[in-house]
Amino acid sequence: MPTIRQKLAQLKDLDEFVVLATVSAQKYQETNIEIIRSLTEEMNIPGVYVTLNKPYEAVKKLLLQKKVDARLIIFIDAVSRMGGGGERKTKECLFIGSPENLSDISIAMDQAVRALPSKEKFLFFDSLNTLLTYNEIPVVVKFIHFLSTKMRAWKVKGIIISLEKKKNQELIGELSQFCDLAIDL
Amino acid sequence: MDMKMNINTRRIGALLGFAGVIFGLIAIFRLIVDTEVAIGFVTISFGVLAIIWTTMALHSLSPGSALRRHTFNFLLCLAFILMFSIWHTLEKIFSWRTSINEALLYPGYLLIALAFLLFVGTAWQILTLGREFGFQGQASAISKIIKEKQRQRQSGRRGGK
Repeated sequence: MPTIRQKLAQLKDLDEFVVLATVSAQKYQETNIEIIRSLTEEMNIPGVYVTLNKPYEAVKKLLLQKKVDARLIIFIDAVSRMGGGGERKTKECLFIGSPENLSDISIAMDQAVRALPSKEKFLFFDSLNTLLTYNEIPVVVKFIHFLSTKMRAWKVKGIIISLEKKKNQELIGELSQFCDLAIDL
Repeated sequence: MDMKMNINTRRIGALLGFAGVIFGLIAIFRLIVDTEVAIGFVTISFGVLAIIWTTMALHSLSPGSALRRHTFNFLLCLAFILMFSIWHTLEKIFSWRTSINEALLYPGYLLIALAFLLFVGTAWQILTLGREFGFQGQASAISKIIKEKQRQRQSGRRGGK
């Protein structure tokens, strides 16, 4: 069975892509770190990490623990301010109100991706499931369609993370039509 | 094929819309002899259109988002400017200043003053939004890191040789 690295290696030759990556709950953390390591350490590409799942501080801590350089990443955090945290922006991260706030998330992604000083860049969206928790299914479908179209326009390596869940199978099938590739990691 | 047809339909629509605006303007200036009142009607119609488009935008934006808040403030500015235009045009049509009282000029001034006050607030809001959603500082830091990494890799390669 191919490892995460081997699966990611398939994508290395592609200049730009939109991938819907389905990850098992047990491997979720490890897989995310491996993807980011592959993009920033091996390919030396800067990018945008959109986290709806874990606060930025937790993600950064994890990346540092695993010795992944997070300096090439602009973080957009839509979780931390939900708990009433007041900070709106730091040097490395922009904090959005909540995962329901799709307008602000879209603007932030657009601005961050366009600001990146490199021809090659990535956008890592974590995760589809949290988006589903806070938004209605038709809204999520519309947003993912918008996101995949934008990713193509931005010419980025786009990765949308989704947790492997039986009840989401149908939706993932529907959403994979907007993406270039759907992979199980 | 469908996309080409879509683009053509849009172009025809835009052309027809533009022609409609031109004919509308001609009709207003023909029907209304007083130029100031005619200009008043033109500004009111554009103001109404601007308010309709802004309201539509407001409804499609996520509740609580910064952009929605900004759109709402912009809508208020438009509303005050439109009220000023309506007041000014009515005052011209009925000559309130001469027939009733000279002081009827001032509510118009109040409306335009409030509109500009709101514009200042909205401009401040867009400044903070620009700071919040702007990533130029981070981008230049990333650029330096990329160059530093490239230099390290090159020196590493040379060292290897």
